[in-house]
Amino acid sequence: MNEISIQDKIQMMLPPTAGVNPPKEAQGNSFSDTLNGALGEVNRLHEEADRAVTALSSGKETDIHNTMIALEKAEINFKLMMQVRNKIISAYETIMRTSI
Amino acid sequence: MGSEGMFKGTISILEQGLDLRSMKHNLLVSNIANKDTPNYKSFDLAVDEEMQKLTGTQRSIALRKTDQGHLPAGGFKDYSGVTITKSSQGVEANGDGNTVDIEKEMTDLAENNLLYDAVAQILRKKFQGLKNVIQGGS
Amino acid sequence: MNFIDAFRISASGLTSQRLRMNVISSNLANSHTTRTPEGGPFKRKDVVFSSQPLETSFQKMMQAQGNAKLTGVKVVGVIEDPRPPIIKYDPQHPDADEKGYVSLPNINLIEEMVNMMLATRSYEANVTAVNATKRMALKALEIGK
Repeated sequence: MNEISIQDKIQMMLPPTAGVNPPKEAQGNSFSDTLNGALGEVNRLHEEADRAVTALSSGKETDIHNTMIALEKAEINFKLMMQVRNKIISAYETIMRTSI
Repeated sequence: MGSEGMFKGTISILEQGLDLRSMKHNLLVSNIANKDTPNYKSFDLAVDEEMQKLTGTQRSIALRKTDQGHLPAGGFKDYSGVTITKSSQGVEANGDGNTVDIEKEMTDLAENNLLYDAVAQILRKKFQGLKNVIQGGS
Repeated sequence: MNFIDAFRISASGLTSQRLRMNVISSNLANSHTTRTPEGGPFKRKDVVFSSQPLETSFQKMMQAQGNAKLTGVKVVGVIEDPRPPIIKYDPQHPDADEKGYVSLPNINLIEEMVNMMLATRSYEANVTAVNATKRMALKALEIGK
């Protein structure tokens, strides 16, 4: 595990944003790619939830259950990301605490 | 990490169930409103058969990419394979070409309603379960 | 739950059945009317129903096979019953002709009462449909709870 890359990723995640940030290094290792993919997923589901709500309120889509499901998926996905973020931070802190 | 993976499988099947029952409900309501219309032929949707068709051939509904502005909630699901049957001749007791059997429509309405409620309830429980798993494990 | 379309269809059903009830009530009230502005006895009236395709953005329905369109119902006209009036022998009646026969409206009370019950039943069926739609929509809202 590359310490520098973890630091980069955490700095990207800490400011609350749902946007996808481009990776800082030229080629990412599989972990950073995975993380970026995950952040993109959060963004996508949130946008889809927004679209669902807009469609419902404008009358274009009148299926309530689709809107509710889209909202739920976005919420669950976001919670998952938050947990992953917590784990990453605690892992980072553990590593930083390792006395050399 | 495709977290969409946790939404495939059972949840996707449940979603399809809701969509199909919603379609069937509209057909039933249409039949009931046209109970006295001469030459009206009643429509029907066999939800169980359609569910088997959908889960047999495609595990999850194919998401088609269309014009951004037209995107309904949950993406554009492909339901073109769903068969809606129109009764050509039927309960001729109505005498004027109308084939609506009102007792059947009413019982179908109640049954469809209940099954919709059941699926919505199950979906709710699944979402709750996912949330618990995510939050409870810290 | 696509509740907007379902409500509109049921609403069209309720309106149509109510119009039918109005016509039936008018028949019952005029079952002995022998004078009308057009001359002659009151003629029994009936409604004509026609199915009305709904303008809907419900894309899934339009994709599905079977060419199913969600249809409401509409009263497209009120027609007169072509059956001849009932002739009764009653020389005392002010509208009796020179032979003493009166033309009474061709309204059969039993028939109208039966029609009234049928219209009521149809109306109730549509009310049940509205309640069912409402319940489903409310249940769908609870998915997120």
